[in-house]
Amino acid sequence: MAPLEPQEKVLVSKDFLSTTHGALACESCHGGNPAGTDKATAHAGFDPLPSANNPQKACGECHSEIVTTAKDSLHAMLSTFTKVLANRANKDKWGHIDDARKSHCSACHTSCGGCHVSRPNFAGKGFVNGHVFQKRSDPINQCTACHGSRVGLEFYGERGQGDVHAAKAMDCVACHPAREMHAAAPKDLPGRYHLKEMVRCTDCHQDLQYGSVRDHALHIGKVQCQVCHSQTYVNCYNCHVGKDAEGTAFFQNRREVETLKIGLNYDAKAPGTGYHYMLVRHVPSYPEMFDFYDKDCFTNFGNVPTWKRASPHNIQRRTWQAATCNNCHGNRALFLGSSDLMDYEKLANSKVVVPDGKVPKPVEKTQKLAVDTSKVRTNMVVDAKWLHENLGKNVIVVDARDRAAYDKGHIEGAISIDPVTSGFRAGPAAEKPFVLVDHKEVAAILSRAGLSADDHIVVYDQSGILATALLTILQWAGATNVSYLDGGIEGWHAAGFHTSTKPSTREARTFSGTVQSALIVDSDTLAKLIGKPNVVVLDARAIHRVLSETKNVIASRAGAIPGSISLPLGALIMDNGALKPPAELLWMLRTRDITPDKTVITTCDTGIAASDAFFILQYLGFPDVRVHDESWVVWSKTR
Amino acid sequence: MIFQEVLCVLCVPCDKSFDNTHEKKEEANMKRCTRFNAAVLAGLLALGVVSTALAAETSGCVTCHLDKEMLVKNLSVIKAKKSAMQSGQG
Repeated sequence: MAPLEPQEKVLVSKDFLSTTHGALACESCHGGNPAGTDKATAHAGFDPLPSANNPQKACGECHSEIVTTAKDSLHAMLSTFTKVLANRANKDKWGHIDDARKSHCSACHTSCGGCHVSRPNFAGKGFVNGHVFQKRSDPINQCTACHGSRVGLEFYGERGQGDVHAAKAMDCVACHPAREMHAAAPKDLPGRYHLKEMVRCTDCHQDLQYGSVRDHALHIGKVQCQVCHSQTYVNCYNCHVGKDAEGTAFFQNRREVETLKIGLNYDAKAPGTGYHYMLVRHVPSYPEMFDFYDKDCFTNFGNVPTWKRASPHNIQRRTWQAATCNNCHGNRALFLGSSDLMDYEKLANSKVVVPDGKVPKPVEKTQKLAVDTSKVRTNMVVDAKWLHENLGKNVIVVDARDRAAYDKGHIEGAISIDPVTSGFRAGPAAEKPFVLVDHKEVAAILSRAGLSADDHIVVYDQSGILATALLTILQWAGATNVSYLDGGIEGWHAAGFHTSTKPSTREARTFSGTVQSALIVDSDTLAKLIGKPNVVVLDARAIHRVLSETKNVIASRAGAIPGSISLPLGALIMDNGALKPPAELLWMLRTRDITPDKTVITTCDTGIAASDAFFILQYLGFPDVRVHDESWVVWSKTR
Repeated sequence: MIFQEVLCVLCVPCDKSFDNTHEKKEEANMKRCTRFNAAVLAGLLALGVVSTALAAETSGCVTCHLDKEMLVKNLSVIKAKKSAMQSGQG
C-alpha cells in the first residue's frame, strides 16, 4: 500500500459530487463551517470521522438497520480484546490496563468510514477513492492496510506462496461479507471465533466427507481445515508498548518467527470447531507487556493461551505437511511441545500443548515422496555455525543490508555492500529503470570493495532479499565461489554469536571475473522464448501485482508477462531469510510445474526478486536458470 | 392546509378549490385528486433531492477539497503521527 501525500488524503474527487452521498451537504455529516474563508474557521466544529464518533447520526439516519448492529461489531468495538485483557488482568489494576488498552489496542478499531470511504485510522487515513463511498471494501487500501502482517502479507504471497483464494482474484469480502462484518458482537463473547456469523470454510466447501478426496473423509472432524491446507505463518513475541518522550504511543514487536504449529483444540465450544487439532499462532503478549503503565498488571496471565487458534490466510490445496502421511504423522516438531514454550507461558498453554502420546503415530504403509535432492549445490548456502568456525579463514563476509543497519551491528570483519545504493543498477529515471549497469562498472565497484572473483564470498542480510540479489550480481560478474548465510543476521544472533559495530574495509583489488552474459535475458529474447517447450517464466512478484490489483509506481501499467507462472518470492525465502529444506522447496516448485529439466527464466518488477529467485533455483540444482533483469517495468513500457 | 389548497388549484380533474365541501365530491374525483396530489408530492420531493444534490457541490468545503494546489499549500506542515520507536505491523 503506497503512502498518500497529505493533500491526497483529503482531496475530494469531482465524481463524488454526483454520487448519492455527494447529494448531501458536507457539513451535514462533518459539521464545520462551510462559509469559513480560511482553514481554521472552516474547520471550527469539524468532525473528520463522523461515522466513528457518531455513527447513528452520520450513517444511521439512512442505514439504520446496519448501524444498529455494526456499531457493536468486532471491528468497531474490539470487544474480545478487552475480554482477553480482563481475563489476564490483575483486577485491582484494571484502570491502568484500560489506559493502556485505549492507548494501544483500541487504536486499531474502525468504523463505517474506515471500510467504505477512507483508509482506517491505524493505516494513516486518507480517502481511498476521492471520498466516493465504496460498497465493497478495498482489500489493499482498507482490509489489509490494518490486517497486514498476519493476513495481507500471507494472502498475497509476500510471505509464502500466497492464498489460493487470492490467486483466484477473490477479495476479502468474498469470504467476509456484510453479514459477518456488520454483526454485533455479544458483550460476553469469549473470542472472535465464537461469533456465530463468522465465516467457515464449509460455508462454501460443503459435504467434503462425501467427496472424492480420501483424506477429507479420514480427517474431517479430527483436524481444522487449515492444519492440512496452510503454509508456514508468522508468530509474534513480546510486544512491548509504551509512550515516547513526546507522549506518542508506540509498540515494538521484539521477535517474529515464521513457522507452523499444531496444537490441541482448547476451545471446542466455539461454533463449528469440534475437532481435536488446530493450528496455533503465538500472539505478542507477555506478563510485562503493560509495565509502562503499571507493574504486575497480568497476574492472571495463565488464564488465556498465548498460542491461540489461528486461521492463516495462506491456503493451498497441496502443502508440504500434507504431501505425505508421515510429513505430519509422527513429526513431533510440527506439534506444539513444551519445549516451544517460555517459562512464563507454560500454564497459559497447558491445554494447547500436544503431549507425545497425542502426536499421531507414523503410518506404516504410505507412499514416499520422490524428490531428488542430489543436485542441490549445498556449498551455496552456509549456516551460522559454519561461518563462525570459518571466519578469518579465506572467507570474505559481506553485509548486504543498508549502511544504517550495518553500523548498528554486523558480523565481525564483514564489509558493507548495499546492492541497492552501490551503483550496480540504473536509476528510476533511466530509459531502462533499475537494470544492471555495464559489467565493467560492476567489476569496478567490486574491485573497490576489495573483492576478487575467486574469493569465497559469503553474503548475509536481514530477510534474504538483498543478499541473494547481491549474490546473483556477483555470479553474473564472474565470482566463482559464493554462498548465502542461511537465516541472515537473525540466524546469527539466534545461534548465540555476537556482532560488532567496528566498520571493516578491504584494500582495493582487481575483480577480474568473466561476465556470465547468458544469465541475463532481455525482454526481446524473453518474448521469443515464451511458449517454447521446456521454458518456464517464473513471476516472483506478489499476487496482487500479477492480478493487476496494484502496480509498481514506475511501471507503465499493471499486468503480467503472458504465460508466466506466479510463484511469489516469499515461497522461496522465509521472512527472516531462512530457507526451507531443499526437498520441500523442490516439491513445492514441482506442484507449479517448475522442474529442473526446464529452462527457468525469473522475472518480477525491477529485477531484484527475480535475482533472488534465480539464486535459490541455482542452489536447488536447476541447471539452466536465467534472470529477466528488465522485468515488468521495462516490459510494460514497450509491450 | 395552504399546501393542500395549492394542490387543489393545480388539480385539473377536480377543478375545485379545497374547502370543507370538497369532501362531499364524487368518490372518483377524490381518487383522481389523491393520485394527483401524490404525484405532485413526489415531484416536489424529487426537486428537493435535486436541490440537495447541489449541496455538496455548492458547499464551501469543496472549494478547497477539490483544489489539489490549495490543499498542498494548506497542508505543508504535517506533524508526525507515529513515534519513531514504533515497529511492527498490524
